[in-house]
Amino acid sequence: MTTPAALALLLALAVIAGVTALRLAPGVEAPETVHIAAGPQDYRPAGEFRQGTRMVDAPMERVEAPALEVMKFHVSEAEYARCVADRGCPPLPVTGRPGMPQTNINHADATAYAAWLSARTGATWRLPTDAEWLRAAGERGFDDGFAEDANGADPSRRWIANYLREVELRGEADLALHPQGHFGVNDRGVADIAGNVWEWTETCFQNGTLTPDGTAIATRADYCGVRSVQGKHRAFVIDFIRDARVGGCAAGVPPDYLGFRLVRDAG
Amino acid sequence: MFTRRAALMGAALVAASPYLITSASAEEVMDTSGAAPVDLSSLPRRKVKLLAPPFVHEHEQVATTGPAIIEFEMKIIEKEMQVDEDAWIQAMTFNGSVPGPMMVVHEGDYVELTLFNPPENMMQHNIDFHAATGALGGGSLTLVNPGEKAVLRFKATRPGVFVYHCAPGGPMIPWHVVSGMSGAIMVLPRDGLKDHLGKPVSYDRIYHIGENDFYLPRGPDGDYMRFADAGEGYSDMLEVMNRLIPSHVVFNGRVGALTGTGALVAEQGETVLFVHSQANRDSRPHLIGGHGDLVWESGKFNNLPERDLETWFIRGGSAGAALYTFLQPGVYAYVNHNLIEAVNLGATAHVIVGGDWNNDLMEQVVAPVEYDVLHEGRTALP
Repeated sequence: MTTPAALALLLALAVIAGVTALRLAPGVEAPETVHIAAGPQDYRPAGEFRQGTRMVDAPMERVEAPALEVMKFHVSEAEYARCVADRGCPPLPVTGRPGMPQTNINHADATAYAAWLSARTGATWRLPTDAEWLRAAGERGFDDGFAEDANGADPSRRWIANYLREVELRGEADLALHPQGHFGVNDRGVADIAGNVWEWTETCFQNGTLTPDGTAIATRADYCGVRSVQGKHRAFVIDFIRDARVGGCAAGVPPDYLGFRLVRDAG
Repeated sequence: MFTRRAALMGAALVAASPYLITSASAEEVMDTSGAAPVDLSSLPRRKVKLLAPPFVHEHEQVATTGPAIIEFEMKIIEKEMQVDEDAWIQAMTFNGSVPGPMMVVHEGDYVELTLFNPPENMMQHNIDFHAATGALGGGSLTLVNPGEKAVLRFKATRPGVFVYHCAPGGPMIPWHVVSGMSGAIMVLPRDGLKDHLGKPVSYDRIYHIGENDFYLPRGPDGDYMRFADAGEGYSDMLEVMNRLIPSHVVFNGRVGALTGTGALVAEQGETVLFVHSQANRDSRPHLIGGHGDLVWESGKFNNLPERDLETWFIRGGSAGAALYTFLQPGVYAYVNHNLIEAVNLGATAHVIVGGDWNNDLMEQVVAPVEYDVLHEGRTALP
């Protein structure tokens, strides 16, 4: 017996089944990414480097960097909430406003989200390295080398130069949290990079020494309880900190907000 | 004109009335017109324009003339001010800044202040000078309604740094103070400051670090509440105030006001006088990497200064002064050494000091480097 009513019922059931299937599906739509082509990169490693006892700039290294797929936007509150709902990520404070980046993120939260997103999308997502972030930052990235004076024998010069540079880079910062897209895209097409949300990287803080001529790194050691966090300036933040505005060092300029974006590995 | 602001204020005053009645006898507004007149017409007069802190108007450290009448003007401004990135206060201010501007006179001078309460304000205000004698520090002679002004003259008889604050009666007193209405005055000895041996000392720069404790309420969403005017926020702030735990402890009115582009500056070899005022709550200034060479902890120059202090105590409701000569260049942090208040609640200032590093005073002998765990470090423990 096939009546229009039965057909309608079947159709309705099919729709409900379809909706349910969608809701239960393990798949999560992959976030929008920006492709950055392979190419050369001039990069100063992140950390503190010394020549003898003098603290100096890390040497500039030229590397051939592979292509990079990086999220166009910061991970949003809505995206992060799906991971929380799925019990993949710890719940965190949110603004509740649409399109806002998830902040109050520490390193473990970010890597938990990356693991969850990888499992749900079948691709490999991870935090960028400090070098990868700088590539994604394009013209908004910066070289953290100093002028000669700050590489000299007087440690106070470097200290003051660093303080003044952080103040200048941060500028008259707009300290309100804004929705995604507020800070626009850079020349690579990456949105909001080096706005007022600093981003976790997977790069550990390192202590290193340079060769006597200062052109190469002689020794280096990673200290992974502290990670490079990138934004208007590079900051080193202890991995469990979610709000670096307080809890920074006594005499520095801390990041404003802590958030993140991920990169997708090829393959 | 009956505005919404006036209506709100009416509600606040009603809520406050039991206190006003119980303490009315001490807060009666008085006048001095019946007392014997004093003739000061022979004294010279000088007008001084006040600067917003941390800066202090130009002044002589050693007086080159006899006593004078020093005329100051202050306008009371009620306005919303930002305390932190996510926090605002409906502030009440002396001359538009939190803290109010610092005045400097010499012992024996007469301070003559004209206090303006502009008509756009909502509340009564006054000023209580801890440096002054009688009439609740001038508070009873200066209670001005919106649209009124008053002129107070007092003789600066005691040398030292002193707090002034608004004290308009009852529960309005602490509320006005923790809404920003405090500042400092320095009464210098006519022959200037002296060290512990009585030898003259002077300073190249002076900074006024005014510390404020704020009690900002949070709404149901966890965000700091923002109000249309002070009256609207009164009851919520009162609830936080009465728990005595400040939401913010700041220098110069807001978190970070004296860091970054607002950082203080000095040069190696320069002597700086830091005047620290706190009208409501105890504090313990400390200069990280420096000292107080000479410290008038209680702020009164007839007492010998203490020497070489690491941290000094500022009693709530007082100001203190610390003299320090910077010996080493670098970035210094001037903090309230309750470090929770310094780092988490905001009480940090920075001083950028230029100069040449002195390895005799301090040297990094070995930069941080990994050590041989098997062979090194075994002799350290007992």
